[in-house]
Amino acid sequence: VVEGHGLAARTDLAWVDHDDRITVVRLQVLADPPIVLDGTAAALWRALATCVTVEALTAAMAEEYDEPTELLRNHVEVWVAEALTAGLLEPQQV
Amino acid sequence: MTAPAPLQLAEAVPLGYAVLAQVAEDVGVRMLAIKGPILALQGLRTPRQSVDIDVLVEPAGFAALTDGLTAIGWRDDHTYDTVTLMPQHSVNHRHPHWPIEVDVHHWFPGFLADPAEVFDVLWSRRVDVELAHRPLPAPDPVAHAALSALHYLREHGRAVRAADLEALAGVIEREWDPAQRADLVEVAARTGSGETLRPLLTRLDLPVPAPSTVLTGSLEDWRMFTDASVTSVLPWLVMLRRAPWHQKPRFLARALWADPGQLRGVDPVARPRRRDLVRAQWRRLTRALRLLPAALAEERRLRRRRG
Repeated sequence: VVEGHGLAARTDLAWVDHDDRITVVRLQVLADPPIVLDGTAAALWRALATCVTVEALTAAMAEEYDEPTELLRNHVEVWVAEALTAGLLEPQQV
Repeated sequence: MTAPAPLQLAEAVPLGYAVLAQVAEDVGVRMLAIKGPILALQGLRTPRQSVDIDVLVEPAGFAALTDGLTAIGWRDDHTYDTVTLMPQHSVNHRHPHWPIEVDVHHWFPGFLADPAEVFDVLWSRRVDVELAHRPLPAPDPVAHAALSALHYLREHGRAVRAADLEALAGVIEREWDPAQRADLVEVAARTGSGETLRPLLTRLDLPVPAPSTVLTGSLEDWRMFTDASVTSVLPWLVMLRRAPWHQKPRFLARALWADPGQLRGVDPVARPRRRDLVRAQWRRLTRALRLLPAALAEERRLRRRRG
């Protein structure tokens, strides 16, 4: 993940926020099962609505979980990398 | 990422609609999301959890859409009655990982104009509704009210459907302006559903329009279907009476000995041994004999009613 680079949920997704989890269907691979995001993954997904960088996402998580940003930064980076690989996120110009 | 977990209905229904819309787009056919949460989003019924999803596809695109569904793991479950008073209008698809059924309609009972023409009318009036953060094409509220009313009228004998129809009439009375009510009459004329919607139109003090197009569906069959107080065995009697003489023996044989594939679909005990299949055939026959007197009485009543 490039420092300062923007992120966004891909536009070819269908997703539902229900019962403390996010369920996502990737419309480009309809034969694949939906992906379920819960816990901090669901919190990160919701934060994407207003945060478009790793820095902003980390700050949002730090506020939500009352933890120092240094502790959360690596966790956020790993999740973003996985979400990019899974086809949930895409880079965005900021 | 988290491993896949069993889907809940509240997730599967909106996501399922989005999947259907994407399949339709991928195979290049026009499809409208109907009923269930779409009606609730349009204020035509109160929100409640649906257990399946319904779409209406242009008749010419039906095979392409169902093939597209099959290609991503949804299977036609083939659990259809072999004979019904209403010709088959939809097929059901299931998927092992989804807790819902998908009903793909290639026409909608009660619209008596040509199904392709009806679809064109509904499509020309389509609106986008948002489900699962996706825009989905759906009938506009006026056309959707007509469609849902036909659905309720088809099962009007069931108290819940009568209540649904009355609730819909209440929405129209309270919330629609005169232009929308006139539009409903126009939709009924263009889709050949004036007579089939008569109970709703008269309830709303609206005129029952003559069709403005040629009808290809049978009003007599619609009336028989909606009037019938019993549904088992009766279709066999009606169809047996209608069949040409040279087809009656084969039809009768089919009534007495069901297609094994169909029977296994509706009676899981019928599989897999031949002995089990024979027992299932016997169960079906004894059930039919038990219901025969009521069906005969109903068939006589319906014939008298038609004069």
